[in-house]
Amino acid sequence: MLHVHRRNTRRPDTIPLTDRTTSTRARTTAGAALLCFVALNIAIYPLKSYFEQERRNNLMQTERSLSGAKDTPRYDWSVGSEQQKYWAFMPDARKQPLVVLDGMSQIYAINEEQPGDRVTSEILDDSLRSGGTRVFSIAAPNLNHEELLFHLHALTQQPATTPKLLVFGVCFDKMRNIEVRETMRDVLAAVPPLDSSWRHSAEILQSEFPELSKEMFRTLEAARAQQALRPDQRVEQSLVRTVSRVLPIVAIRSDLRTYLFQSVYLLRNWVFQIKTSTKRPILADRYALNQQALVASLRYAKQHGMRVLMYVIPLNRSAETPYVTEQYDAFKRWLEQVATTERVAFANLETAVPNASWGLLYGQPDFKHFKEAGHVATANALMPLIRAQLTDSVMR
Amino acid sequence: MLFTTYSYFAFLLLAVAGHWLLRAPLARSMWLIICSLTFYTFTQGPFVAVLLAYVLFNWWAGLRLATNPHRKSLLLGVLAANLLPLLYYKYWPTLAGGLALDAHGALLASVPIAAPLGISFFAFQASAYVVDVSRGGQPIASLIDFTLFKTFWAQLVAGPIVRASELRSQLRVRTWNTTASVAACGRIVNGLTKKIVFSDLVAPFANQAFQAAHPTFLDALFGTLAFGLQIYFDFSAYSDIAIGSAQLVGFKLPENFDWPYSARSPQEFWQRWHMTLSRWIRDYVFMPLTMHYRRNPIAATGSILFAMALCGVWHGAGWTFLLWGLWHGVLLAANATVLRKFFSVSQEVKWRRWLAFAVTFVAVQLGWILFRAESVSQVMEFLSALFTMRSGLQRAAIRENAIIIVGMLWLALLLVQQNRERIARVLSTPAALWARAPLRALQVALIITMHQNATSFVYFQF
Repeated sequence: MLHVHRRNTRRPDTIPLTDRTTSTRARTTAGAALLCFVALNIAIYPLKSYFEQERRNNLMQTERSLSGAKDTPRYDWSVGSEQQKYWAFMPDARKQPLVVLDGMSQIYAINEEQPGDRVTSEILDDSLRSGGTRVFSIAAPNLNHEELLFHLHALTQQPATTPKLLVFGVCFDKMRNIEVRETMRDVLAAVPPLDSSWRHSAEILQSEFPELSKEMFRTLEAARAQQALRPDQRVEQSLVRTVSRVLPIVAIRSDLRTYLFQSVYLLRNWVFQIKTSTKRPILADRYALNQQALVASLRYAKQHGMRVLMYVIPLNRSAETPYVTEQYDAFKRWLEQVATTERVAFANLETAVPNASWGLLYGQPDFKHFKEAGHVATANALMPLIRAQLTDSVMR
Repeated sequence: MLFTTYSYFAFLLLAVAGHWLLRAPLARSMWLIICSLTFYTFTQGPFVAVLLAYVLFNWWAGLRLATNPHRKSLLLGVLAANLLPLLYYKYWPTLAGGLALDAHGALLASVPIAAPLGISFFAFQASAYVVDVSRGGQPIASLIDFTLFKTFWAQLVAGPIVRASELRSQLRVRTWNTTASVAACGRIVNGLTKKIVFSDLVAPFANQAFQAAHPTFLDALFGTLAFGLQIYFDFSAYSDIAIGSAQLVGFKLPENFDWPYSARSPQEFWQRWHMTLSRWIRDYVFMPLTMHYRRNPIAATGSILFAMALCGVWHGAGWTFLLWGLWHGVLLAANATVLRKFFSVSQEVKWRRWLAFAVTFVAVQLGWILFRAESVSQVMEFLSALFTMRSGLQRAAIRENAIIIVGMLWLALLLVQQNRERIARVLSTPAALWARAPLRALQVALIITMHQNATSFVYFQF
């Protein structure tokens, strides 16, 4: 079997590049590579503003989120990375009824955004504030239902952040997403009570939702492993900051990464002729996991004294969706059934936003993200439902 | 301190600069020992005491073994002392798992114990050292040299498993030259590319497939292929960075990977994959057993199975690792007996070479299912999905991107390894030399761009 290892002294597992390279040539190559790297950094620097514009075009960033916490934000879409900073602005749930609007990018994205535009939660907050109710939204692009469950666990850590009413916009294609993102896992590992309440829920769910429970334990394990890797985080972060000041490529690496993936994504779409309307069937395992996580979230919210309003998000009827019609219909039927079983309020707002309120994404009609008018229409559709829930809640 | 962090490169810069600024060999060695202990303490804190205990004990044991007439009993005692901490930290949680109860009196699966990082590597290295000395090899007399040999950071946590004979001559005399340093930097950049650009890219796909409750054929297929890529890029990346870092301070560490997926037989695979571990298993387990049972062919075959089973459980205390080792044991036994002719590397016929390559490739990839799965039932689930082509072309867990990216990366890897000699020739032409500098700059830019938060190397768990 393991015979003589002649190969152990052979060439390494890389293509040999320096066989005939003399010392001078090596120096020249290294120097030239260094120069090229410096030139690349200089060339890259002006791209910063271009990337910001690109993020806005791709609905990844809005004017207000660019200015961060300075404008007293009324929504957090930091996906955990700046949770503490944003949640500091959350109205105190002990002082007034708090409504939390949770969901995917539709909650915060504004197509063809104009200065002064407001998102759904801001419109709702402005309307309900006079009656003493405040609205704050937490959103994440492509939020899946395990992440919703994470949001709920995080919200219930403090009475001040435990809302009276949870409004959740359900999006069918998010049933294809799984795993709690790294930035959220960081929060999970950093807050011991959150860690233990998450573990407790995972234990409780073991018998009824074994797959979800397993996934939650995995999330916990990943969060702890991440944390264990970073005892030297402070040193690392300060080093990165220092290097960022010298090398522009380090400073804008996350934008570059987004741009790179975006380009690969567009290349993929071009090569395989994938459009926003190309049908994407459900992925059975992921779908089942999200179903379990949604039910678990509804129950968790109710156990913690929240009322819940769940709604099917508005869709652009003039655009073709990537949904397989039968699967989407079955999904809506299932949602209705769950709402009845779990005794939560349910609404189908699919047609709530008129055709003129939608915009474009990558030059094609965007089926999920609307202009400010769409946010107004959504808020108008939600308002009576929210009022009903709050009145009912107060009366009880 | 992970090899992919900015902290590591700040550390490396300091260590290398300090090393070459110092003139005296003894001062250089002392400096490297300080750097190595700092490196280990940075992430492992108090566990540095375990490492130092290994150093002192094995240094003493080496000297005693060299002069002691009753070597055999002393050697057994030393080996037991070397392997006991490994057994305690790595295998005790599993062995004792069935005995542990939780607060409600229920049985717990296992009670994890925080283990010193790299204990499998430095325990094996220490054992090899004392065996070599007991066989007549020269012990390292100087405590400073021995400490440097045992603690040198580049090989400490995840190998390569270096032998005293390979490092002895370098412990005092190390030379510096531009060519070697530039090559070392290139090696590190290649390692970072493998880890950050490739391994971390495909890791989520493997995770998603292996976390699926009911994987389909496509989930199982691309999950397995993704893991095959992940583990290769991850571990060979670690070895590249380790070897490159060592080279910057004048050490030449042994190679650990040599295009393993180009192997045309299981035997060749193990001559190309984790070469320092397979060499260790060969020299300290397989060969002694084979010599002992040389007149009994069945026992000789059993030696292969035993050696590879040990190789399996070295990776972790679990049935799946044991099965992985046994699977490779069976492949190697078949390679040496019934399929000897089939796997003969001197085959003249091209299609037979390709067939041997394909069979080896499939066998190795199937083995990764055993290696990656969390339980035997998951292995069965995966194999059943693969061999029954469950759900046809539907997917339950992985998305379209997984298929595209894993497919393209495999295609690229197979093409590069198939044409590596030709590529090497082209890259050494004068015209290609001009292109090398901007390509390297772009490679570094790509690493920086793709680098998010540092992720651990797969082999850190072993």
